[in-house]
Amino acid sequence: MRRGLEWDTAVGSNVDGQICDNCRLCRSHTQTRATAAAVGAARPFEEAAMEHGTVEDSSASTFSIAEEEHTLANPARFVLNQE
Amino acid sequence: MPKKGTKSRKGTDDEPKQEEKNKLPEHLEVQRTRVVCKGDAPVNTEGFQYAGAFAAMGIDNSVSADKFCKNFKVVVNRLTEDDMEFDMIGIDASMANAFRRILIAEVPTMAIEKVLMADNTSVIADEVLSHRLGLIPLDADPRLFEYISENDVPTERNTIVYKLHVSCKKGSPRLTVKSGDLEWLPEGSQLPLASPAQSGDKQKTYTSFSQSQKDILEKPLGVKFKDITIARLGPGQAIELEVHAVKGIGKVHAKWSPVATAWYRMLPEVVLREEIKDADAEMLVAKCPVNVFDIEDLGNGEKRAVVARPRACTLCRQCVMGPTGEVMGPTVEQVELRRVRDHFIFTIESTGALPPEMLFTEAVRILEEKCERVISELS
Repeated sequence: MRRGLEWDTAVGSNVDGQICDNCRLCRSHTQTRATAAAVGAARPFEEAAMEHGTVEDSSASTFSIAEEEHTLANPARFVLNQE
Repeated sequence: MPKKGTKSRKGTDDEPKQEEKNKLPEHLEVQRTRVVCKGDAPVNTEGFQYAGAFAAMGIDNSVSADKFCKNFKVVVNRLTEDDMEFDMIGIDASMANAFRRILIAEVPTMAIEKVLMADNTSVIADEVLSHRLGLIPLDADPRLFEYISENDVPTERNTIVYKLHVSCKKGSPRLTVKSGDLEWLPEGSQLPLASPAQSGDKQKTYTSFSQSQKDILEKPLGVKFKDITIARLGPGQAIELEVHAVKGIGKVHAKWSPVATAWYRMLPEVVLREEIKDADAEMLVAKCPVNVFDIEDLGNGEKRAVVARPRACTLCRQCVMGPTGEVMGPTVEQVELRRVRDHFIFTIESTGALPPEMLFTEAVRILEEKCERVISELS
């Protein structure tokens, strides 16, 4: 199954210095506690987020979409499955 | 925003030739495109959602924007002031359901939200009267208004003000208060706030209209139906109140729902697997409560059943069940009820704020906004 959304971003970690800006998991490696708190304060509402399954293998991702219901989720699931 | 990779597309001139070569067997094509409704239960209810299904037979089961644009069709069957029926062909049930959910709960309308009671000596309690007022459909285009929040001041851009002042004189017969008695106040509220005005200052009211709504809007704002009974007054009773209508969505309260209902069904398909003749044909025609079948005269004294109006089928399954409801019967195996998986008959019944065809385009726009918001948040 092909991925529904194609990300042209290198998967990185704090080891080799590359950062994946879209992946919460990668972000948590490099952000300090104070920086994370500041970022959290600047975002009072939850936003959509994405996490890679692992930093090595980018064939699976988890998406968290806030403030939506089946209205959007069912068509998104259908389109992604048949992509 | 990360750069997205470009997909290479196959040449389109090759596709129709390949599709001709790689047809699915008939029973698999039925399974892929139809839900079959048997006497005991429907089967094939879950479609093939995997893009790679049938790939070994050369069939492309995926969904692409190009294929959707090529195959999708909308056919309007009926369109009146209040309701419309149209077919959406080439769309998935999840999309049809998304439009239904948006139409019911997320398209905004105007409805009465605040009721300021000056006098209510009718037998109806204040809260019940307020509830009844809130459910009255208003003839106001919600696209011309803004949402109001708790901290906003009511202005001519986000609020509509109506007045209701009815009394039944002593000695008169009882009086019925109808929605037509609601009087639109284009200048805003006429009820003064509690504090008296300072000399020279303008009296403060419950709204802050900077200009008349008559100057902004092309047609007067009123109620859609003038004959809705609000209350009945006996002699000596009176109702004096002012109401404020605001913009909202049906997710918050059903009074803001723009449709009386919006519903869809798949296109029914009725197939006779064998010829049904003479007495069996007449029995089959008599069974159907919505006259799907008809008798065709064959000329030499013989008769046979034909499917005349498959669209009218409600899938009550009388034709695939016996006379006392058991699954077996004389004509049971000869009739097959199906529904086309990607053909939806959609019905919208408007409450009047917007015509039904405009409601649907608003629903499409709202779904588009949802997609754009998710894409921008994930980028």
